[in-house]
Amino acid sequence: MEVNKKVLIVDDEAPIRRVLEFKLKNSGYQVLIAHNGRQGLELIKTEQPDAVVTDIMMPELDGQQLCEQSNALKQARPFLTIVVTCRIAQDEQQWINQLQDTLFMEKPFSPARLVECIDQYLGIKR
Amino acid sequence: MKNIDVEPFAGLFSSLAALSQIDVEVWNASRPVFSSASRPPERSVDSQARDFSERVRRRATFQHAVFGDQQHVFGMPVSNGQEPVGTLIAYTANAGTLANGAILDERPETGSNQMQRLLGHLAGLIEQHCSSQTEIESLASELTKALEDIYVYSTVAGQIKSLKFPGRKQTDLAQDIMEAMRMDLAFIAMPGREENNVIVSRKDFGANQRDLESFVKNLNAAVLRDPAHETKNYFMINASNQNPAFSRLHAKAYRFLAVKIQHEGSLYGWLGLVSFNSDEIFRRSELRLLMSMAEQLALVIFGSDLYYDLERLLIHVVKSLVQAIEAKDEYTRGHSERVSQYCMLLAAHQRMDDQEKKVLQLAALLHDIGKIGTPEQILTKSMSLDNQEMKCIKEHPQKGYDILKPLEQLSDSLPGILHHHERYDGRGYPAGLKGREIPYHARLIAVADTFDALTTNRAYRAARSPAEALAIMEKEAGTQLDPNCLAVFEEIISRDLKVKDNAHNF
Repeated sequence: MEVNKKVLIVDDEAPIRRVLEFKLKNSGYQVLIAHNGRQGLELIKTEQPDAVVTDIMMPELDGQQLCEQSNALKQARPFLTIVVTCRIAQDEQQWINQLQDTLFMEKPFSPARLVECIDQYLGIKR
Repeated sequence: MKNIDVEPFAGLFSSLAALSQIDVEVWNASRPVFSSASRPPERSVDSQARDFSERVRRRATFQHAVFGDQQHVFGMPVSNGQEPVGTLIAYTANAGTLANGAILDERPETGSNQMQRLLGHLAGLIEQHCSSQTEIESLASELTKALEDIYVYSTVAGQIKSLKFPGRKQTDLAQDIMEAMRMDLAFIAMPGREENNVIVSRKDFGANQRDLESFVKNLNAAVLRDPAHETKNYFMINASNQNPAFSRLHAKAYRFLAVKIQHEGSLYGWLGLVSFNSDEIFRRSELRLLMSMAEQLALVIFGSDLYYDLERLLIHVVKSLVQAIEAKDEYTRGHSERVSQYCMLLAAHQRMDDQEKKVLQLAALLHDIGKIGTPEQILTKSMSLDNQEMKCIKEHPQKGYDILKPLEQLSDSLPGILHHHERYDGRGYPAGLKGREIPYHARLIAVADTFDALTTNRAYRAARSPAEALAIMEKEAGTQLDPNCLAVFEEIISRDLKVKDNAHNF
């Protein structure tokens, strides 16, 4: 099923990128790839994705900075951000609550659940 | 063959076209997916090209043709490793004058050979690229499944750690397995342990609990009718509609996986999953995962059985011990057992948890154990005791404490035993504790102990009726007995009396 929506993957780990790309493409999404936060932020501005999936620990610009810097753009054009990472401390992810349309997904994560989250946000029924 | 399969070579092909005027097209089974000509000429879709591409694929070898008068066309099959899935077609500029013979020799035969080599290399590149893409895709697919498995493991492992019987934890476990493995229904069915059976289903599943129960019951019955269940540790059906015994159990087609919950040869029951998503089948990794869940579950059941067996044994040993001591005195026979029963009524009323109940039960059963060291003639004496004898009697809480102190399992029950003769006003023994300083269990035992003493025959007096006993105790509220504990006790006993009264009247 083709879905006319763009999802941006921001991760410095190739295997995770491959998995997400595979899963999202199979679900009919157009997929954009960024290897770090800086590329990610560029693509958010130029390509206007409908959803962003990002890691936290990345070179150049990390996931938290990416989220915080792209948050301002959401007022004019809302999009979903999913932060996928390992939880170290219980309250570590509090900054996420401050941001618009931003979710936290704990690793180990289920790719199928991640796609479900995006589907749900974009109102896609399968 | 798709456009993206050729994309990495687009630059190469356009350079080739610019340098040597060779235009390249890549066809899949029915149409061109790439062309290096800036404006795809009409020939791309004309029937001549289509037929030529078709011929190359069918023959699976290099082909050469001339379209019209002078248009030389060469074709090379592109294979996916097993069979040709597309073709690479090269069009030369008007024949003979091509690129000053740079690539095409003037003699058509040699030119054709060179073209064959060139196209062979190019097709090889595309094939290699496609196969590594396919490989990456299958790795990504495997990795996706592995991630799903890890997710399920980590979710469910957390539950297993805190799994305890009895409790609602096995419901949480079933719920987690169902959600993590994306099933529509999960159940734990253990004959003979119905209180531990669990059925959970997805919210949108829509069936009521009774229908679910009968579905699960029928599933289990169908498994037991199938001879396969005896030899294997699991039972799996990927398409219910192909198995008459299972297709009639539900209107919709489903897949069903159940694994045995067993430990060291004893079978406790089945852990089962049902999904109505018939696009997928159960994976081996899912089966293995479910089997290890069932193993863990069995281990927990085995462990908790063992625990309850030991606990029952402990209580029985304690009761026998107490009976042996009480046997010396006909007046106190059964006293400790009754005190412990009153305490259990109090415990139920106070909604104590199981652990605390056990501690209180043991304390109540053993509260007079110290009398084992008291001379028999003092215990059974019908006349009032002298000071020396009284002193001896008053030693029994401390003696009981000392006897039981080495037993670690009883450590929580010791305060109740040591202090059951303390008085609320502080004039009791052995420590002279006052009010809330007296351990709660000791205050409860004191109330139950007093009541039982008053309502049974003694060497020096006859038994009082429960109502009389309560009236006497009432006067001791706040002096000997904790008024709160006494109030609760009175409530329980009066309710009990009323029930008996009613039973008597009817």
